[in-house]
Amino acid sequence: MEKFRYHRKHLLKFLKSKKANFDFESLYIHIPFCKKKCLYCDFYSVSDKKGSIKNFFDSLKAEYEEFRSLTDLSSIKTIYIGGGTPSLLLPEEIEALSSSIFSFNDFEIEEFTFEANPESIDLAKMVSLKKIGVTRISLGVQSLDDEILRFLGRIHSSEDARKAAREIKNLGFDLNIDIIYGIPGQTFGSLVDTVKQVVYLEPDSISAYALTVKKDTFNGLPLKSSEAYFEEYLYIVEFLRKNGYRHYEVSNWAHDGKESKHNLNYWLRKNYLGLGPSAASLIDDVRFSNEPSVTKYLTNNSAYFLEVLNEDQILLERFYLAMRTSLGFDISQSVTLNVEFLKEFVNQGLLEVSDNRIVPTDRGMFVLDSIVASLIA
Amino acid sequence: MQHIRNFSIIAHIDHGKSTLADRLLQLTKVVDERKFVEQYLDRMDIERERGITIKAQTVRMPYEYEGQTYILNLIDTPGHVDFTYEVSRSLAACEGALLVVDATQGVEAQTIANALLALENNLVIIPVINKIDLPAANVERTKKEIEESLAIPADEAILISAKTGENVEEVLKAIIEKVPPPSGKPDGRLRALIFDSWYDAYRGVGLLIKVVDGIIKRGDQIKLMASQKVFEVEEVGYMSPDPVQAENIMCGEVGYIFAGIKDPRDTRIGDTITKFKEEAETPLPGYKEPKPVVFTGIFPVEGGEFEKLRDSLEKLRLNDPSVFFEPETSKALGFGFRCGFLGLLHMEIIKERLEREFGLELIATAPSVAYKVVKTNGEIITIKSPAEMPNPNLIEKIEEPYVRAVIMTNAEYVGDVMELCQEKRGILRSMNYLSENRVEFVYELPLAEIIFDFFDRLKSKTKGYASFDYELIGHRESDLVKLDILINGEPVDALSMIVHRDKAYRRGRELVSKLKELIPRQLFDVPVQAAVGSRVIARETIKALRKDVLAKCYGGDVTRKRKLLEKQKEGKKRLKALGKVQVPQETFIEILKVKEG
Ligand SMILES: Nc1nc2c(ncn2[C@@H]2O[C@H](COP(=O)(O)OP(=O)(O)OP(=O)(O)O)[C@@H](O)[C@H]2O)c(=O)[nH]1
Ligand code: SF4
Ligand SMILES: [Mg+2]
Repeated sequence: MEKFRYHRKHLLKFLKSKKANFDFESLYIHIPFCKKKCLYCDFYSVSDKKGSIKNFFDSLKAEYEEFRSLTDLSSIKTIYIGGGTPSLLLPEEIEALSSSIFSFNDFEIEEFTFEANPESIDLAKMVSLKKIGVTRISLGVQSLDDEILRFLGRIHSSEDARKAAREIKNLGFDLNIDIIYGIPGQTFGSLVDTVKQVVYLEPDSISAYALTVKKDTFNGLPLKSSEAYFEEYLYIVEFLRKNGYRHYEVSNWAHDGKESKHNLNYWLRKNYLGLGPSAASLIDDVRFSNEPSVTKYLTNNSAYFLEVLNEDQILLERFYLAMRTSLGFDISQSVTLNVEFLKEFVNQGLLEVSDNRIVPTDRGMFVLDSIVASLIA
Repeated sequence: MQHIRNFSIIAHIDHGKSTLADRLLQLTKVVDERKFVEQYLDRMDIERERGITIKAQTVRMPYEYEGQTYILNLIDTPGHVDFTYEVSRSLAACEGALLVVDATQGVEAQTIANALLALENNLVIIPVINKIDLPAANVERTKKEIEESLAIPADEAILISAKTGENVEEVLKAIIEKVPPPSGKPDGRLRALIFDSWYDAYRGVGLLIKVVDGIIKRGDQIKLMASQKVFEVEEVGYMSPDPVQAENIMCGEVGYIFAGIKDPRDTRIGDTITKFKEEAETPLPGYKEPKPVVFTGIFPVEGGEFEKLRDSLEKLRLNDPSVFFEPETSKALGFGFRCGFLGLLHMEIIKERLEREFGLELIATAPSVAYKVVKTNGEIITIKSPAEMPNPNLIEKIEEPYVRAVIMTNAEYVGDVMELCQEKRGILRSMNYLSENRVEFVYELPLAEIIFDFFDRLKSKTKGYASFDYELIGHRESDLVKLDILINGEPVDALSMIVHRDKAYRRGRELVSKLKELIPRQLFDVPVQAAVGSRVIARETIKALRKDVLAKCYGGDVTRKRKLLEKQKEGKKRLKALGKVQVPQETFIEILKVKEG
């Protein structure tokens, strides 16, 4: 399908012509500001606020109001405020998000996540988060080795992270901790140490991401070999399993019942609405995303990229996304797979088949993209 | 009929046949000067690119001589040894031959071979010494060589420069005076020899014929004596050098016909055309079928193009009956054909013509030769591909074709040439210093050894200062084994080869390490082995790919990932599966090219 650029009112007109009411299950709000850009980051964010948060909120409100004409949003069950660095918002700004734009307390929410960085989260903000209904804080820890934090271009210390994690737990939020592995220059021992300390902080869930950059060096050092990545990955897999975390998606582990419902919705291909620059949305066969530009966003005149998918494309997405999770894919859905490879991958311990589902093993998850590419050929 | 002269131009490669033909075309004014290009009769792109003649070409040239108009039918022939069959077919349509000898090179292998063919066909030979404009021309020596090696009186040789045109009129004069007119029976029953053919998309099969007895005209009901098929002549004409329609082709003349023949299999070069209901009693002698010596598997890149390949081979065989083919299946490559050729150049040219003229994309397996296998039960079989090799315990002995190779080089490369021939299992028969600086070797070599990369390596070792000619001298017993390549434990038929036992180990090791380099990492460890029978003689492991997954796939990442998969899916269509190992098409072709080195 061709990708089109639409202005907001045309996008809305197009969407209305398709359906009267949309049942979004999730709402994503993108706060595109960071104090300083981290070296590895490819999220859309800017380090200069280009005017005040108030102006940004005005535009966010405008966008939200317009999308409300599509739907009453009563079907929304999960909310995620991500970034950027949402924890840069001041307590009153956090509260204003709810009081002057979203009235979060009107939603019947099962999970409400807020992203935070250790240096910019504090008790006052956490109290405000409680007020607006946040249930879960995802903390960008990345490493608990200060040297590595500096190397990554992070502006917090390991102590900031430990402190923030403890406070989040104390206030009764669910805690998710993000870490990164495969960092050039980091010894295996340092990685092991970070993983152990993270588990000691008793988060409800953990996201461990393999460092991914486009070039073959990072901050002056060559990337680690795929074998080295694999070794660290296997350690994480083993250690987290021993400590009661279930590996439920390529980069995600959680205690039972603490899996991110919001993220699972992405992988189950539920409908979601994304607001803010660069935020993406899905409604059945339509994907659209907002232009990644704060400047344009502030003019209320940013463009949306729109794509209408055909059956095959939808099936392909379902397959790929489901395969990323420990739920795996229901083979009885009509997708043609290469049976030869399926058998071989099962033989090689990369996949398991049970109850009509193909499920990736831990090893399989690590080469999932190649597996999927082979299976669909 | 008294005023018809049919003649061929024959010579060793590059001695100037096509250039002489150019001058004759100009003198007889059959080609518009404005349209003229050098080597006018080399009409295929592939001929022009390589500067050699591959297809014989016929031209009818009217010529005024002493107040009388003569019809001269010229056939320009190729000089390369691989296309000798073209020459012999052309000669059967002629009464005379111009034997061109390059005065700077003297008599060479194909000069002799082609002169003998002409003698076999009872043709009058007119020796023509060419390139006398060059300072290096040595007319006296050339004359002497013609006399000594061919027993043709050389004082009759015409000295010309085909390039400048000097003395070329003399050639025309000699053709008229020395070549006898054709000697058929104009009133007899029609007998016409098919000596070439081609496929025309609109009119079907075109036949080039020489009318030996009788006459053929439009509307005639004709019968092909071998195939017993009957057709009606729709068009007759002459090549001039483009087809020009005419009323008829008379006794003794050369021309073309179309007879609504749509199926290439209905005709055969060498067959005799006669009239339906007024049939001739006996057909003309026809041709000996040439025996292919080099074989290769040819497969369409797109699996679905097998039928198109078959159809194309059949059409191409009209134009070159020496191409042999039979269906072959390969696990790795699917359906294709085992094809046989008269030599390496022939093989290369046919593959290229198939691709160019029929728009096919092809993969060829490593070339092989025809082995004679004597089985323990006494049965003797000929095998054209490694796949046909019987189990080792059923084999009494294997014989392979040998050639007698004549290699000429500069004295300084003597050591290099000998080293190469030694490595290629050559047996030195003689070594002569032709001059202080020129050395001629005669080696006996297994054909299988020279079809690999012999010529390339000879050229690079001698910086181009070597010439190389070979002829087959029969089969000899050798200690040969079948070398199999196993990828992930499964033999890949397209990579099997027959090699000398002493070389199996080295080739096996080379191949396996090359494959390790070429095959992309898979999702599991892939052993690559070389084996003789059940004995593994070399082994490498392609280590598994360890990491390949997008770390994050949230709301905004899905589209990008899907696009990537869609692209990969497209790409996978061009993947070849070697068992459960996938390699890109390009890599597979690269693998098939893996040579000794
Ligand atoms: N100087 C000089 N060069 C010539 C003469 N005749 C031919 N050549 C050159 O010799 C080369 C080969 O000539 P061709 O006419 O293609 O030779 P050929 O015998 O038809 O070659 P094949 O068809 O490939 O066997 C060309 O570069 C010609 O220009 C000549 O009389 N004098
Ligand atoms: S804080 Fe997060 S969003 Fe901001 S630059 Fe760093 S990694 Fe990217
Ligand atoms: Mg020529």
